[in-house]
Formats: sequence, structure tokens, C-alpha cells
Amino acid sequence: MGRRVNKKGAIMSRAIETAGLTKYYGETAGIVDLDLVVDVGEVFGFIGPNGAGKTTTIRLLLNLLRPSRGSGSIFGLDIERESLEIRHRIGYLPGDLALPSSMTGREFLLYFSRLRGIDTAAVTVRLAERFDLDLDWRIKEYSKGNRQKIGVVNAFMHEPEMLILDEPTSGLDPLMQQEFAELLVEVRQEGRTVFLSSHYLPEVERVADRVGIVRQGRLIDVDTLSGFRSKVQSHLSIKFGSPVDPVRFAAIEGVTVIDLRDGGTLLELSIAGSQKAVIGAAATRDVLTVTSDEADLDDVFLSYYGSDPRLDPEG
Amino acid sequence: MMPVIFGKTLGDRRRAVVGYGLGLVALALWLGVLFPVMRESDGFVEFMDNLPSGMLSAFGIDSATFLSAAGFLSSYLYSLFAPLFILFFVIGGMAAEIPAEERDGHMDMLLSSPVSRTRVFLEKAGGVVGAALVLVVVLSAALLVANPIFELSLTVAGVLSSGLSLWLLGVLFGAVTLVTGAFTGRGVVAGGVAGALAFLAWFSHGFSDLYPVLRSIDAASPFTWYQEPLPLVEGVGTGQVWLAVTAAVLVAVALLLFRRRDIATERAVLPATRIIRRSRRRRRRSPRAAWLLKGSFRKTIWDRRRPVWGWGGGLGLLTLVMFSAWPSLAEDAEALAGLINSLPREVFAMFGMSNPEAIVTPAGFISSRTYQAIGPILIIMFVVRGVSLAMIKEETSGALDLVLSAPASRRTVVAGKALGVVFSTGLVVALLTLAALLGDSAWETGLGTGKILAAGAGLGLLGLFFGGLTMMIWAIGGSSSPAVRITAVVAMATFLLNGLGSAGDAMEPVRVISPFYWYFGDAPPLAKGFEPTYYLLLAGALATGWVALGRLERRDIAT
Repeated sequence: MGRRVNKKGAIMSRAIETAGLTKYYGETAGIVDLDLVVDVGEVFGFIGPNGAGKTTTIRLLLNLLRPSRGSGSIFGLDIERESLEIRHRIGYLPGDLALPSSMTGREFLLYFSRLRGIDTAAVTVRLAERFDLDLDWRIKEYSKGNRQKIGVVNAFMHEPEMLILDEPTSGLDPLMQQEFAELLVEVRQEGRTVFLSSHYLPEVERVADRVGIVRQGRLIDVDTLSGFRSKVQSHLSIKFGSPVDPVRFAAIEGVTVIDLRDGGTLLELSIAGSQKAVIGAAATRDVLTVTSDEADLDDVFLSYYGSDPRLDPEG
Repeated sequence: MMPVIFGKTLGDRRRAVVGYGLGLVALALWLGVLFPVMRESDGFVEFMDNLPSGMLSAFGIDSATFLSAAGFLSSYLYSLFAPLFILFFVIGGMAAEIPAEERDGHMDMLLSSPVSRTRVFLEKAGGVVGAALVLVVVLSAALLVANPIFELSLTVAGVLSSGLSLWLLGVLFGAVTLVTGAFTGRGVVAGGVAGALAFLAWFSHGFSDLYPVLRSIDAASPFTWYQEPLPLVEGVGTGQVWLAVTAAVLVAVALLLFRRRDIATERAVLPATRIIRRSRRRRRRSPRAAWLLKGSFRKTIWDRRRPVWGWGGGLGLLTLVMFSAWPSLAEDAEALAGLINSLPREVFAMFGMSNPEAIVTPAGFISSRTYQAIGPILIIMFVVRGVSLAMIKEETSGALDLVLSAPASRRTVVAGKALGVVFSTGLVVALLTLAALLGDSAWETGLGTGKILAAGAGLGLLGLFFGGLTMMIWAIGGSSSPAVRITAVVAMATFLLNGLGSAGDAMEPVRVISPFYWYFGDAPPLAKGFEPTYYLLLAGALATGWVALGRLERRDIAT
């Protein structure tokens, strides 16, 4: 779109870069030794379970929290010293959205556009129409989904170079989620950057170029979706004629038992690497059918967090 | 750069400014009316000369200047009510604007936009002190208008100096709130600490004549800087400079702390020392009084367990102070009686004392503050706040939806909450009563256990009466009805009705409808037992509670 001119020229292709970024709350780890690189123009999915450190990372990037150690930059600007300049160039949607309840949606957006010192009225109206949002209600009268839309409009209304979104579609209905995904696609086409934190995996899968997985305060892997798919090669469902012991399969290297259903006769596995050992093990039993799917982000997620192999055969 | 945040902060306080402003103007005019009445009263002048200054200072009276309008207004308006109004306003405003906004997540939104922390901090603090300045200007204007009408002979410079001094006092304690808030990130703690320090400063200034031990810290009390020499008479002096300098230093400290803070965490900016670390670890333990978390009755008590200690402890402390002051006052009982007789009853009526003669007895003196002025205000605030937090706020926040989705009838749940408020009120009264019993035996005032128990019971019932009113308005009007505000207005009106009724014959017949009359009557609560009129308070509380429960069964929740 060319609307956005890179101030420091072509050399600056990093949207986010952190080095050993760490935050402790007392003795509790928020995020530890985060080394993260997000390129300009990419949609980066940041996934992990609750309490993994996603929001801590975002709040560090926004300078709401001060790092215990390590450093970070956005567009080459230091997240602590040059936060003000950074905040001119980003849009933020918090995961735990808190809006002043007595203002109307329009008043709230006007207030925040004034804080930015720019006129965002035209974009605001366009976004509100797109998300079917009436701006002239008091915020306390809005439903949860409509409040979330206000947050979305606030993050996008000044057409920032980068969007930092924490669980952006929480509360939105499927139609609006679809609309939101399309908005993200447009943003990417315009060459803008999106840092998308979520545990709603289909959303990340739909738009993200690369995904980082965080667990217990540590970034454990970063890859493209296809890269992850090749690591998690398959998802296998095996139907047996009689109940089987899942521990036998869990013991095979690279195999994670996802589920055991139908009275212990339907086994679902996630397999990294060759399926040979699994098929071999299954063949010694009374196999009825075998179904194999392409891995999706759920499998990636589960393979990294590890499901419990001691599944209840009755469950 | 447009001061957008300043403008919003100022705008958000507009309702409070109107409310507090009307209160201050009414107060100034009322005192303006009173002064000529008092000045013309017989026998007043001669007694003033003979009175020991220590005794008077406990009532905020400076004998040297009390006979002039400036002295009179300095005692009543500028040493008690105006600071109370301004400090409530500023401390509450600061706590709401910065630490409370951090806690509820608004600060995250604000600071994610391209505005510096310094700017957010200064504009928000500036908005609150700006609104306070509006209040002070309104008060000063009201006095200047009243000046020729009531022949008060105030100087313009004096009124403006007093206003400036009052504003600076507010700014100073606002800055204390900011420091505590930036340190703890908790609005309640910030407001509580600032309020407690303000009380301490007021106490050490006002009571230094009575308690020699306070004299050493009197000079360091901001209330001393604020009022000595009286700005209404002497104009601006070094005291105001001290106020301004201290406030500026505190604001600078608060700003430094705020700039270093992790937003919306309760952790202080200090490094994790061993003590702090230990206290953090302790917080993780399972709740020690978890047995209370069973049913809405116990949950309400659980929620109020800390306020019970705070409010009950405060009331108890006040009671002990009153008891301890009695022996030195008793030595001059005759002079005190002379003063009381020389003052018009309107003066006392304003403070809810329809029986000023009784102040020369221990029962009257201790009742005058504990059971007739501060006690009722605190207990009504405690009960109404309890109803507001357990019911109204829970409905607006959606917590009530959650509670009512459990398999328990609506009546059971809400009745449990109401009983929880009743029980926690009982605990506050119990702490007060315990302090009174201790005081009675320690200073040998001879009040007797029965009368102390009865006075406490009446006080509790008075609080519950207004709590019931709040609950009924809420049940009928829904969560958006101004139940707390209506209750506050009714309480203030009936309080004045009782006081005025005792002073003027015209109001006498309507006085009997005031719940304060049912409690005070014409004798100090400590001087009488359990009066039959206390049953009226009980009946009122039960009736309003009953109506509330019935009405609530049929209404929509959270609409």
C-alpha cells in the first residue's frame, strides 16, 4: 500500500526483537529468557496455555512492566527508553479489556484518538460499519461481544504499523470472527505486522505466518505452520475390536496418546516420525479401521504440552 | 499538546464537584446565619475570657479570635468541615484516578497509547486538584457574597488566603495518596493511609493543648501549617509555603515511583528484600478463615472482615480518646457549663446535640462525639457501604448472576447477605462497646455496663435503619438507582431536622419523624438505657428489609 514509510530505511526489517527478556513477579516466573524475532509484515501467532507468559510478554513490549533482565526493541526502538515513539506506531487490544463504563463507544474512541493527537473519525466509522457496531451506546450497556468490538476499533482506527492483539476474538460471534480474520489478512497484505496472542488455535492457524509456542514462561519453539506440520507428522485414529492398553502405544518413541474412547476401543494418537512402530503394535491386536489426518495446530499444541498417557480406558 | 486527560479527569469529577460544592455553600451560609445570632447572645463574652484554652481547643475553638466572624468561621468552617470535605474529595479522587485505574485495567489502555507516564500522572493529578480548586473558589465566592449580607467583616484577602491554604492542604494529602498509591498500586490502601495521616495531623494539631505529649509533633502537623496563624485573619504566611513545598516534594516522589512501577501489579518498586519476599509467600497460603466461605451470610461477613477491624477499631480508639480527655475537662466543668449556656442552641443543633447542657457530664461529653456525631456517621457509612458492596455492586458486576445461578432461592441468598451485613455491624458495635467498657473502668466515669450496651445497641440499630433503606431503594429501583445517594440525603436531612427541631419551636412537631430523634431523643445515649424508641429503628430496619426481599423476588436482575 506504500502508505507507511519506513523511517530508518530498508535495513530495518525487524518488527520485534527481544534478547533474554525476562520478568519475574517476586519468585514467580512471568517469562524467562525470551529471544524472539518477528519480521516486519508478518503475522506472528503467539500461543500457549493460560498463565504461560503471553500477556506478560505483551505488557513488557508496551512498557507497562519493566523487565527483570534482558531487553527488547520494536522497529529498532528500545521498549523501555523509546516506548513513547513505539506506542505512536502500534495498536493494542488487551486480553482483559477494561473500558470506562460511563462513556459511550464514540466518546471513548474520540478520547483515545485525541490522546494520539490525530483524527480517526473516518476509519472509526468504516470499522464500526464493518463490525455492525452502534457507537452511541454507553459502554456498560454493550454486550461482551460489542465491547470487544470497541476494543478492536480502538486498536485499528489509527491504522498502525503493528498490531499487538491479545485474544482478539474473545466474545465475538463466528461471523465477526470471520470478519476479523479478513481484516487481519488485509493488514498483512498492506505490509503491516501483527503480533497475535491466542489460545484459540483455529484463528491463529487461519492467519499466522509463523507461530511461537510458549509454556511455563519459556518460548519452546518457533516455526512456520508447515514446519510444525512436518514435525507433527500425523494424527492417527485406530479402531479396535476389543479394548486396548494405551500405555503400550504411549511407550513408543514420538507417540502421544490424545484420546481413548468407545470403551477403550478407539485410540487417537499424535505421531512424530514414522508410523511404522505404531502400525506394528496395532497389528498384533484386532484392528478394525485406521484413519490418518493431516496435523493441525491442535496436534502441534498437544505434542508440545504433552497429553497424559495414563488415560482411563473407560473414559 | 491538548491536555486531554486533564479535561477528562476534571469532567469525571463534575458531579462530585456539584455535590460537594452545594454542601460547602450550604455550610458557609448556615454559619453566616448563625454568627450574628451567637454574637448577640448574652453572657457569652464574659465567659470566653475565663475559659482554659485547652478545653476549648478540643472543640476547635480559639478563644482569642472566636468572637469575631473570622475566628468563628475559622473554628467551625475552616478547622473542621471544609478540610473534611476537601480531603474526602481529593483523597478519594486521587485514589480513584491512579491506583484504582491501574487495578481495573484502564491504565493499561491509557498507557498503551502514545502518552508518557509523566503526562498521564500529572494530568490526572492536576485534574483532581483542579476540581478541588473549583470547590474552593465556590466556597470562597459564597463567603464573599454572604460577607455584606450577614455583616461578617471578612477581608477579601483573608477569604482568598483561607481558600488557598485549604486548597494546599488538600493538595498535600492528595500527594500523600499518590505516593502510597504509586508504592502499593492499591487505591484502598492509598486512600486509607492518606486518610489516617490526615486524621493524625488534625488530631495532633487540635488536641495538642489537651495532651502535652502532642506538643512536640504539633509543629510538624500540616494542620498547624494550614491554620496558624489564621489565614482568614492574617493572610498567607510561612505555613502555606510549607504546605506547598511539602506537597511539591511528595508529588515529585510519587511521580518517580510511578514512572518505575510495573503497572497493575501490587508489587512495590523496591527490590525484593527478604521481608517483602516472605510476605509475598505468605499470601499464597490457603485462606485462614475459609470456614466462613459457606453460604451468602458467611461470605458477606468474610468480605467485611477487614473493614470490621478498621471501622470498629477506629470507633473504639475515638471512644478511648474521649474517655481519656474527660478527667481534664471535668476539672473545669463549671466553666464549660457556663460556655454551653452562653451559646445559642443552634450552634449545638448543627452538630446533632439537642441537649448541650449534658456535655458537662461524662455521659454527655463522650456521647457528643462517639454516639451523637462521628459514631452515627461512621456506622451509617459502614452499613450502607456493606449493602452497596454485598448487593448493589454485585448486581452491576454480574457476580449476583453467578450466585443466583446456584441452586438456592433468591430470598435465601439476599436474606443471607442482609444478615451478614447485620452481623458485621454487630461486630463493629461490639468493638466500640468493648472500648467504652474499658474506658469506663479505666477512667472511672461510672457510666455502667447496661447503659453502654444500650447506647451501642441503639447506634447499631440506627445504622441498620439506613442500611434497610438503601436495600429497599435498590430492590425497588434496580441496580442503577441512586440508592446510596438517596440514603445519604435522607440521613443528612433527618439529622438536621432533629438538630433544628430541638432549637426552634416551629420544627419541634416534625422532629419526631427523624430516626436520629429516636436514637438521641433529648438525652445523651450513654445517659439512658434501651429506650422504647429504639424499637422504632428496629421496626424500620425490619420493614424495609422485608419489603426489599419481597420486591426482589419479582424483579429482573441486572437490568
